[in-house]
Amino acid sequence: MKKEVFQIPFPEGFHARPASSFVSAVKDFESAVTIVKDGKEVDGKSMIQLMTLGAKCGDRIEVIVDGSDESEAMEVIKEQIGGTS
Amino acid sequence: MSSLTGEIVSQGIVIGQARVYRDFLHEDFKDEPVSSNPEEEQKRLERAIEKLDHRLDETYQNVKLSLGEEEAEIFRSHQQILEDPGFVGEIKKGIEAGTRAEKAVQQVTRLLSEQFKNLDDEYLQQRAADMEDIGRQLIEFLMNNENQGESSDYILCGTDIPPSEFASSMNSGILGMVMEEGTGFSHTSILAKAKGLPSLVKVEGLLENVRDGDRIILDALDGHVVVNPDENTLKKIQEIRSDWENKKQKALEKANEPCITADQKTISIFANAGSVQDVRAALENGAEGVGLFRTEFIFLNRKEAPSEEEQYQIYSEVLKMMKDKPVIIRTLDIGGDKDVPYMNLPDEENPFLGLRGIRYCLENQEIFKAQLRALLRSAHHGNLYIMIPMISMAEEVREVKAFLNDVMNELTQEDEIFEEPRYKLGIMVEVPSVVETIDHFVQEVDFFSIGSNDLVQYLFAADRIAPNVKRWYDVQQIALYRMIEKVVAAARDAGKEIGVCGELANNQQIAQLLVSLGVEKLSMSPAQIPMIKSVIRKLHAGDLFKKWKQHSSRHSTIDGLWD
Repeated sequence: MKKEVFQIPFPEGFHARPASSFVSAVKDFESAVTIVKDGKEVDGKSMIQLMTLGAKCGDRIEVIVDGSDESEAMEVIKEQIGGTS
Repeated sequence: MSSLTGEIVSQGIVIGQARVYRDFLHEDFKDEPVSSNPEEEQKRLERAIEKLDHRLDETYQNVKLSLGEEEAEIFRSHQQILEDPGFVGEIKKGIEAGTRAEKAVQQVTRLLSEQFKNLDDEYLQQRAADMEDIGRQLIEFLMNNENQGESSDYILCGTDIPPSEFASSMNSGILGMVMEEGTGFSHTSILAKAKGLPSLVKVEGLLENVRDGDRIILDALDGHVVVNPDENTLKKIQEIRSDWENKKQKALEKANEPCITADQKTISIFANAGSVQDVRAALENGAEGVGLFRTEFIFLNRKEAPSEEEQYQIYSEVLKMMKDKPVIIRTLDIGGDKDVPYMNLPDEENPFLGLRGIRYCLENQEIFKAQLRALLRSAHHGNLYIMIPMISMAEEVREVKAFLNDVMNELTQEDEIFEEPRYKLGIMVEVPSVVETIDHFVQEVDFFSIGSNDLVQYLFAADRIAPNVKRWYDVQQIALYRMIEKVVAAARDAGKEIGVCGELANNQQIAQLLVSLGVEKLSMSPAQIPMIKSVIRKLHAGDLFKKWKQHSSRHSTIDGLWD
């Protein structure tokens, strides 16, 4: 299992374009992707659940990846959300 | 008999049976599953998803054909929800735990919709409506209640009818629509307007007074609904209706005749269009040209930019359809408020004051070049006018002209027999700076078109889509018409063509005022053309202009100008 904390870099927040791009990037990994914000956990492969976080630019989220290809998945996620904080 | 009043969305009078739209999302279902085991219940769900997906596909195609790609896009995004693990997966979990499928859909839908409603972001709050729309339809299919083409001649009544329900009614015998809530700007209202279906919103007490099967009069000329009318009322309304239909019919019969005011001014009536279908409607309604062909729709909702060849085909077809009639094609007018992945649009705080229209095109020359090449190549097929949006300075026009020149040279070098086409170049008047320096612009271009929708927004500094500044986006203000009067006079003195395209010209009274202010070309939705022509034929422009002069010195709005 891998865990990382990210700060949302997208000016418009983590929905619409950035969220749909995130979901298409992670959905084919075998690993489960969970996103946690303020104690609320959602499925990172679901655009709808991601949007319900209402994560704004600057908000911190924790991403948990668990499964056989978790390292690769985390790399892709870093490319999507950018710098760790 | 009871009578209720509301706000008119789309005009007309119809009489028919009420069909009250049921909201399955709030129906009280029993907990026990319909099937004997959860596996069977899962299969019921899967069949319902499949059917709904199929219907969404059909709806998408129908709406795309009848109203265009942009209106249809919402149904594609609904199909994506049906594939989302965060929606379908959660429903399946509920069923696994022994819940009846309908109830599981209700629970997941309501939970997600609540979450969206609680977010402090307007865009995300609106996603709640999408969730509810999908959940509701899924339950409908689970219950095998798809109201397939049953009754005809009905009037759809409901609290706030979702776009999907309205769109699937469009192909059955729907006569009109009445909502207890809703607004004239909601997606359903826009569809009703585009379809020309008599409709009212904000009819208080509607559902308390109307039962399924009640006979109702929907009077969307005067803005009221009569439930179970008596013979006398019916008789009266039928007279009013045939009167109005006669008027409409007469207007349509004369749609192809020229539009000359009572004091002998000839006015050209053009149509706004965004697709080849719109151009067909324009011709049927007597348009004397295309006053605004929006090319944005060719660029939206796709993964890569349309090729030069694809654009060439579309522009050529439109020009051929209109024969020698003028066709004003506006170059790409897009900014950061739109989501177009391949365009690399900047994320901006104020996209309406940002890199949009010509500003974007001059910075992204590859996209602009392909469009100009397609336009110049298609020019041989008709009477082409190229129009540049969002111009604010004369330098921009000079840059565009230099660029056009380069593109033309490239075309003639590539192909020896390519002849330089004849076309006219013009700009949109939508940024107030253009009005102040119109004397500079008349030296640069052949024609002007006043884009009222954006001009109002930039003149009053009021975002046209922000609900909290709606009051300041006011098309009644004298300032707007003073500005139009000024720019029209300057353009005409210089011998340049000038027209108005945009929502303003759709309004019968405002269209009259524009003509009185000296506008000789109006461009509007195709469906409005016959009525506007007939109204303007009766207008004495000189008389209204005198009234305008007196009125505008004493009042701040045009309200009362016609009294």
